[in-house]
Amino acid sequence: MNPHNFLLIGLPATGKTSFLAALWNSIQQDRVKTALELKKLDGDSAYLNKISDAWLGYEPVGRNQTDIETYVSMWLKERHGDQEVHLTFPDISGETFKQQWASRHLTASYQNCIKTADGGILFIHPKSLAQPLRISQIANLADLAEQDEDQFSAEVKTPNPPTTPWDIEKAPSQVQIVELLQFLTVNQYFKGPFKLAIVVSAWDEVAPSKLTPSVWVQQQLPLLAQYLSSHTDKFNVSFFGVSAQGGKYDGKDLGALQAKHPAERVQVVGDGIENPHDITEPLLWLMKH
Amino acid sequence: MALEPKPTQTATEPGHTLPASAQELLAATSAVPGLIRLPAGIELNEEHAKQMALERPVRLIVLAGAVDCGKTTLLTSIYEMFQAGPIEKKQFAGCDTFPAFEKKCHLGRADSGNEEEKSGRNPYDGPHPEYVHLKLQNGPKALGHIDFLFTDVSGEMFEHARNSTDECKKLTFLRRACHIVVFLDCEKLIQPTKRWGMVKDAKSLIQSCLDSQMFEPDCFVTVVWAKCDFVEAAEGKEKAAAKDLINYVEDEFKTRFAPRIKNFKFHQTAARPNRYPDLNFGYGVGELLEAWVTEIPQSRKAEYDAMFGSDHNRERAQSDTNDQATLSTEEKK
Repeated sequence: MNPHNFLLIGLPATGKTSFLAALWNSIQQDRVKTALELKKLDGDSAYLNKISDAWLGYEPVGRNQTDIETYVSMWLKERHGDQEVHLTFPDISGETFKQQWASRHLTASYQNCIKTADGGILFIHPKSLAQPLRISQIANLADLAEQDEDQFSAEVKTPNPPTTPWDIEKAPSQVQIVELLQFLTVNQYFKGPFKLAIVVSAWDEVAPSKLTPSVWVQQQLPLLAQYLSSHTDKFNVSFFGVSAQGGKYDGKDLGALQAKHPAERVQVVGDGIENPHDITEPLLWLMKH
Repeated sequence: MALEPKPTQTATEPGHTLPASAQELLAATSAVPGLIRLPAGIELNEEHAKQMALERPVRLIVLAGAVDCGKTTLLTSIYEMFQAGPIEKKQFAGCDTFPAFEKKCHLGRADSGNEEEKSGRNPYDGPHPEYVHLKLQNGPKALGHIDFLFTDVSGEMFEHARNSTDECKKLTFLRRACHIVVFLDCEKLIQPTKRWGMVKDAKSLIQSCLDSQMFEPDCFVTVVWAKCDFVEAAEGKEKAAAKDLINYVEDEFKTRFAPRIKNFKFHQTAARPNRYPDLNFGYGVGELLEAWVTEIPQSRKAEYDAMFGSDHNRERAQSDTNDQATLSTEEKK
């Protein structure tokens, strides 16, 4: 029996809880032959059942509250192998990670998680990225766009608005993520190289671009990509694109999702992925590398 | 990252305050049970900069010049360029002062609500420098990282220094510098009423530093024509006059200072070339960064060799090659 403790790292609304909900369902069904399956229940599963029920009902799983740090554990075994694992994840609110950046503190309980962690999953959501633009970039875009001349004239005549004060919470997502990783590396309990599965959530939104998850990260989060590339001694990284929901819960997407077996809603892409519906692949990579 | 710098600067202008007061939050978190305080990430003060230099080799880059000559803009342009990708194959590898950089960049971003990009002005409260930090990797295959500390201080500090050698001697950080960048402001260069005063001020600053013996003999001194987009945007006789003046000033500076400064050169930048958009954002900045990475004062090389070994030796070899090339060019002249 190999115990594993993995951190789930991510700013608010990056798909951590949706991932857990889809995972909890996937390891308890046989339609999709996931690499890992549930061996036995372990203690209180109420939270996992609650979020999984919401996922099965095509409802938002809800965001974890800042003041609640939920620990989930699962006894899993390989479907085609003998290895058994006990996984523990702290489903820590994204707000907790935000506070590391903005308020410059971490909780003692998260510190305890770092102490025992032998890997982690970093969640990034393409729709919740803060990517502040320089004013000259905006001006260039405005020059390119065809604008209504009258409206443009009116805007020009508007007196200079007062400067909006700087807000630390509006810093670029990639800056905040790199800082979270820097905080991790200087933690007294950090042990490198730390296995880090980088999961780009809501991959169904990105898939039309035909990019791989690693290339997408390089293009959208170049600062993070540089940081990881320059710290191969600290982080052993693999990239995954995961759509835990399978699509949007409205319009045409919902009908298409409802026509599928729930486990087949899940989409996973990444290097070496054999089963595109197997949400346990990132976990398997963490366990085996 | 091991440092916990204390706030050393209180900004009062709009857009300069730490909102939701990060400083207050910092103070508050230290008192909350169950919370572990993390490094503040604001500017490092002198004490913390020295402490960092004791822990690992740090290359200090001093940005020196008058008020509003482009020091902060150059600094933020480097940070903003790394947000978009590597600069001349140099990779971003870390930053101990993220919030400080973010605050400095704010006035140039759309979030500020400004219609034109601006840079904040550092208040002057005496000869107490503050520093921001960047860690780079010289290409994806290079071993080890290079820690840079950049001064970001009020232009008034240098105005005091050029007016008095006693004041200049208070700027002790100059003697720790690997590279000193002295700014000449091209926005003033194209204004007949301001150009000669701007040139005289820069000349006086270098003179004062030399006469105060605040430049180490082997440190690299680069005089940067900042905001050169103003020259490029000028037309006809105005542009020709500006370029003639640049040549004249460079000749004069070389005649006066090159005998006293071993590593002395000129460069042009347009960190934020709004006046002449044909120049890319960060024009000339990559070359400066390249010099900061590859050119190390002779007296510091042993320190870096001990830390970086063969990788640094490779950089040093490149640096030596550059030195040789520079020497050859000068000899030819």
